[in-house]
Amino acid sequence: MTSGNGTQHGDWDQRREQLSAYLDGELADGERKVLEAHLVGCAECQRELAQLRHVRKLLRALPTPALPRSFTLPVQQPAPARLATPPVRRGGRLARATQWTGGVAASVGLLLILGSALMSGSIGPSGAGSGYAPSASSSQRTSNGAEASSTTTHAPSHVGVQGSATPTPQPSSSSSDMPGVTPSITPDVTPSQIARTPTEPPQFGNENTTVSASTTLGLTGAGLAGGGALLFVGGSIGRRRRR
Amino acid sequence: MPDDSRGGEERVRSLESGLIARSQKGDTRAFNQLVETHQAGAYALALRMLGDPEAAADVTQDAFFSAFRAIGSFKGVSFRAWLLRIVSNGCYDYWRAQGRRPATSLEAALEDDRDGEAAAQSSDARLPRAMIDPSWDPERVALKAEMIEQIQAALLKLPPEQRLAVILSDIQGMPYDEIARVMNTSLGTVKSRISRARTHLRGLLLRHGELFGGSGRRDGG
Repeated sequence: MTSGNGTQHGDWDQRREQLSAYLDGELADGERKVLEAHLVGCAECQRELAQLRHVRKLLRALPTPALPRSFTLPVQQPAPARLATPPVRRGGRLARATQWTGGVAASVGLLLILGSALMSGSIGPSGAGSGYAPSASSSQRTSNGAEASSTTTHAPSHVGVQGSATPTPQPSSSSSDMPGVTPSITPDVTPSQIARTPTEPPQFGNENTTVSASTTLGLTGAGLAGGGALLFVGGSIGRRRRR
Repeated sequence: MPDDSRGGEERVRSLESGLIARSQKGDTRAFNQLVETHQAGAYALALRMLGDPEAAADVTQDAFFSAFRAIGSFKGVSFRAWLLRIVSNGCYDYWRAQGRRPATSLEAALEDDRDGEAAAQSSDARLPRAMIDPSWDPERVALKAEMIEQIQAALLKLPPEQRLAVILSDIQGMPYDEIARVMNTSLGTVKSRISRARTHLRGLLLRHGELFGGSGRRDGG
């Protein structure tokens, strides 16, 4: 860039600004036509323009960086009222389940005790049925207990984590800092869904099933008495819970 | 086709306006749709400004939280410009918090400008040996990793205002008036900053001949 060029082009900063804006299509029509006319006969400006264009191409060629994560905000959930509801429903559900299992266990236990008292090798249908019922009943109760507790665990987490948010621990960015986040969003989990989640109420269709004689004969009187006693205790607990 | 394109843009704008209105009423889900549209650009700006992926992610996330808090006050024309302004402010806040002042003082900026001029002058002196090979178009081939690093390193040597202007122009592809909104300055200043940034970058990048091809053919523009 000689002084001669400086004279020819005036202020080179200004000329570069023109060339740079020309590249971006940001010159007014009149200014653009004057510059284009000049460019035809000026190798130095052509070179300058080519280099600026190349720099722009290099920047444009930079790849779009991959996102390290999604920056969506956590969706705040409503519902102190909804959160308060499930325990009541869960309590009712638990009470109903316990009522079922406790009542059946107690009656089956009674039958077992009677059966063990009469145990003399004869086939007692009620005792045989009792031999099956305890495990069904207790496992059903366990199953219900597990379902109930898993509902207890999952229901709040469903409510709290709903949405596609990526919670990001930022000191100043907790959702409670966000004005305008209204609890207008319906939770995904409704009480009726919660009620559907556990397994269906225990089925005791086998209760009256006549068990084979070999099964009955395999049980000792002491074992039946012990099982009956356990079930009786279970039934009592069930009734206490219900109360 | 241009009509289709305009129609498409109008639909996008209309959709965006609806999302903004819902966001202003506190609808986080609507705002998250805006986030999904703009997060790539926001993160790219932060990354090119800061050169540090972790810091860029933090600044981007903070910017979206800030934008959601402040969206009630948004009455502008361009949501993207408004958002990228928040991101760029976040970059400055990050430097301040780190105790770094990347040429933010006038003196440092002027010094960098002088360096840029010197680099431009020296690049002029090297022009015969650093001609552009027009057969090599960086926009049509994938840049090698080291080339990307060289360009990123050169960007980080620019004064922040020039860096921001040229990133918005050449990487984000924004028109000058939108850049002026992001930078809250005049069109003339935008024009000047972009020109200075490109001149400065030219001087820095010409040191890496491979970025300009290899042929000695003189490019006539």
